[in-house]
Amino acid sequence: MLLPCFILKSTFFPFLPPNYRLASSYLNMSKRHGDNTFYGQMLRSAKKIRTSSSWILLPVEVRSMILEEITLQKHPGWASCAAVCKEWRAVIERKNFHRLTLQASCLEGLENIVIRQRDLVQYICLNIELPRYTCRSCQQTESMSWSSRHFSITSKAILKLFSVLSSWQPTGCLILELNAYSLSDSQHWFKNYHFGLEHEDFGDLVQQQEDTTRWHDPKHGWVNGQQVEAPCAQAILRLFYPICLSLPKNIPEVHAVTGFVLRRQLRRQISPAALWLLWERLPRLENIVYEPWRVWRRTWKIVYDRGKLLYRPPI
Amino acid sequence: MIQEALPSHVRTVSVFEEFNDQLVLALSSDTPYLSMIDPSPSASPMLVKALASKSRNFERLSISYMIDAQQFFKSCQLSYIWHHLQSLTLTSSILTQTAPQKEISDLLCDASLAALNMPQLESMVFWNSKHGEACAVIYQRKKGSGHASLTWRGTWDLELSRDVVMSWQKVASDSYHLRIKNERVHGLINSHGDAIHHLRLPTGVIDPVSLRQIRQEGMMQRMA
Repeated sequence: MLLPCFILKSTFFPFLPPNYRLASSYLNMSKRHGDNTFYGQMLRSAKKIRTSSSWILLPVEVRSMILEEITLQKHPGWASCAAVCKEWRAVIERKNFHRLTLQASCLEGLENIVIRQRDLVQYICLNIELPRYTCRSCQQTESMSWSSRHFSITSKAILKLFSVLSSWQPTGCLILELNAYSLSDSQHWFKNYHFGLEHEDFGDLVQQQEDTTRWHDPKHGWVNGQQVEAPCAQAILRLFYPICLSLPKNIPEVHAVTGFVLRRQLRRQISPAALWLLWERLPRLENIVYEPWRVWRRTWKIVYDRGKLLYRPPI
Repeated sequence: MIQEALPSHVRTVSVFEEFNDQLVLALSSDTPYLSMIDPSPSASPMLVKALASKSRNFERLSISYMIDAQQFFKSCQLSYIWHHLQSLTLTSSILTQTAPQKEISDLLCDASLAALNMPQLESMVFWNSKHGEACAVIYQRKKGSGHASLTWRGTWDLELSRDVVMSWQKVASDSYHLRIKNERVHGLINSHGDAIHHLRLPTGVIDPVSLRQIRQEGMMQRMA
């Protein structure tokens, strides 16, 4: 934001506070008054500005640059800026709804809340949260009851997502990503692995390296940031255990989705047969990014190859 | 079959079969599990055949580590024509510093024969990496520019044979001048993520966030 910063401070707009960028000055209010009052302050400020006409006096390009800056800074509560006026709403909502990252529990909300903004959504990532586990099972492969619980959670979440999206009309591009992990995955043996949302921000490498050196958990092979013991085979196989072998055949068609993404951060396996079925239910699908983990277990390999080759979609 | 499962309107496919040698080592050293583990890539010959056939429908296709480029071209029939394919990226285990150069040349000549039946082709890339080394052979043709190039880029030098150059000049056609480039890659290759980064592979090989994750996990593994 160097350019507007320079312009705003220069002689073009001498009425602005000398040490503040316009957008920053709004946002800094929340720091002074706390986030709860930020919204009210903002509205009052916006009103004040409207009466003195200073915001309106700004050229459209500069106003749009300021609004863009708000969407880049993503200060807590930034999305509520959409309520200021139609001009603000257009910019803020476009950025806010561009990419949605959802837990399975958010899917009701997706159905009921995101209605007018559907056209703005271009990326939906469904993070299926799997149950936490304790040290009683972190070194054991999943029990039958545990894995059937995973099958049920995954299948329900995917079915719900497809049901909600089936009512969305096709507009432009809409990419759908599936991910699943348990918060316990990174708390036992696999501290250095990236799993989901909280591992997508690569901003501060130095901070992350410092975090690494703080890992000290001898029970799981980590001593003063050093991995001194590799996880046992059962712990590894647990992390890569299948969570979805098949899906109900009546899963609805979704016409709005044009892209499908399954990234390598999903360690657990969704069988090819289930994926083929999903892809078949996406009649406008054009792009696929598929980063599965290599299947190491011989028995799974056989099942997977069969799934890849012998599966025939139902007529 | 995979042909029936992948909808015919899919245009761009990027497949990256991820693996981790340290995990395989840990699995293999756990005796009761030794017989259960098979660390080889998972694709069966039938799948390779299906993918080769299906590739005729795509505009952009990248498959890393799931199948080998050698298998892919052996599965292609002479009658195949890729009317839409603009970009193809594959890995091959033959691309190593110790491999006989004849085998690398054979792969590149096989690929050029298939490329003759890809009228829209703008980019074909073969690459590979293992600990400490990485290389790529990159063919690029910019439509309307009159220029095409065939680049060897790797942690070691390799002079492309005369047969290879001649066969790719045919692909570029007479109206394009084929430039041969040899570029040395400097940088530590500790993971296949480092390889993709240092080889400056075209976009579409792997999701950018995944690439950053691989490199960072590799770095933390080294620190660990």
